[in-house]
Amino acid sequence: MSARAMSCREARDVVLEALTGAVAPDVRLRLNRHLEACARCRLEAGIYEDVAGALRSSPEPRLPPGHWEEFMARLDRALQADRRRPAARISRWLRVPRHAWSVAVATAALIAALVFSLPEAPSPPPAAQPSGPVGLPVLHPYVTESIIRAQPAMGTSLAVWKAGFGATDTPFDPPGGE
Amino acid sequence: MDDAEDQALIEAFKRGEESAFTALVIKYREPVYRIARRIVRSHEDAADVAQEVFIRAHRALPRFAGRSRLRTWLFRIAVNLCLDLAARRSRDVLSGLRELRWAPSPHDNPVELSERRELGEAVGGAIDALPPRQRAMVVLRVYQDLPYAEIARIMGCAEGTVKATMFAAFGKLRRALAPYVRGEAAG
Repeated sequence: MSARAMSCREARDVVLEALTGAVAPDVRLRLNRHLEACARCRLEAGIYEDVAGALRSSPEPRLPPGHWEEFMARLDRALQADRRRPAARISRWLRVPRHAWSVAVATAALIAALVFSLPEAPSPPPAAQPSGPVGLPVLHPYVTESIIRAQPAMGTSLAVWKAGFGATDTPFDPPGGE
Repeated sequence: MDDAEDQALIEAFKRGEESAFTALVIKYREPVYRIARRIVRSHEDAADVAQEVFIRAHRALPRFAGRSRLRTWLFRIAVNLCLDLAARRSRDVLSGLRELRWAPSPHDNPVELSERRELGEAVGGAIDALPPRQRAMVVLRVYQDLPYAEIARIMGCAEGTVKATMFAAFGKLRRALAPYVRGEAAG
């Protein structure tokens, strides 16, 4: 099966990538086929190839003798100075999994000890019960006599509601009812 | 293979083995230095950048989650440090160029040597004239042979941006190196 032909636009898109380094083999194959057939793209590719070649011909910078020995010694000094920072020492100590787990367990134990050793706060004295109408559960101090007179069954309804609708031992006997 | 080796060294370092970090430094010091040297131009600046890369890596490696390759991560630190340095210093554009000039070998033919030196100077000048981000991308591609996707991760941009920036950079290089390019010299 032959690969799809590459257009000039696609070729311009990948030519630089292909000339300066690795590209997928199928892309390179399609590009090469396109360049064989297209003189204009071939000229452009030739120019970029020369530019890339000129760049590669630039010499690798030379290092002074003994550079890496000096580099490692300097780095070692810098890292030792860095290690002396308190934050770095703690971080390095915590890097050991056993230490990290010990700290986690100790922290959890400390929190638990604090929680259990705290004295229980004294409970506030019970608030004085507001006195409601006799024979009625006290719902709110603002339930006045006039409200109860207007809603005579309210007291019984509230008793049923408080006991739960499933309760069978709370008589429902609304005043004036059957 | 390379990644597995790096991962093993990182794990060893996380367990507290300092020698694992030394092994990583030895493995990556040269490419890190060479990238920095091509971008910041001077040996002293490049050596300082390389030192700083490994000091920062030493601090941050315990938190390295491995979402990117170690090489990408180190090169990213290096490029960012170089770009910061380039932004701070706009001084003496030619200082590093002089250091990158062709160093002759006693076996070189004098005519060939002269031509190569001339080309080397032209290339050095053309690369130095690029804006720092373009220069960094050209260095990563041409001298480190990195794929566009990895350059994008190092530079913190989209792959399309790398493509476009490389085109812009090569457009400038093409004009600057016109006398040394066959098609351009003829046209």
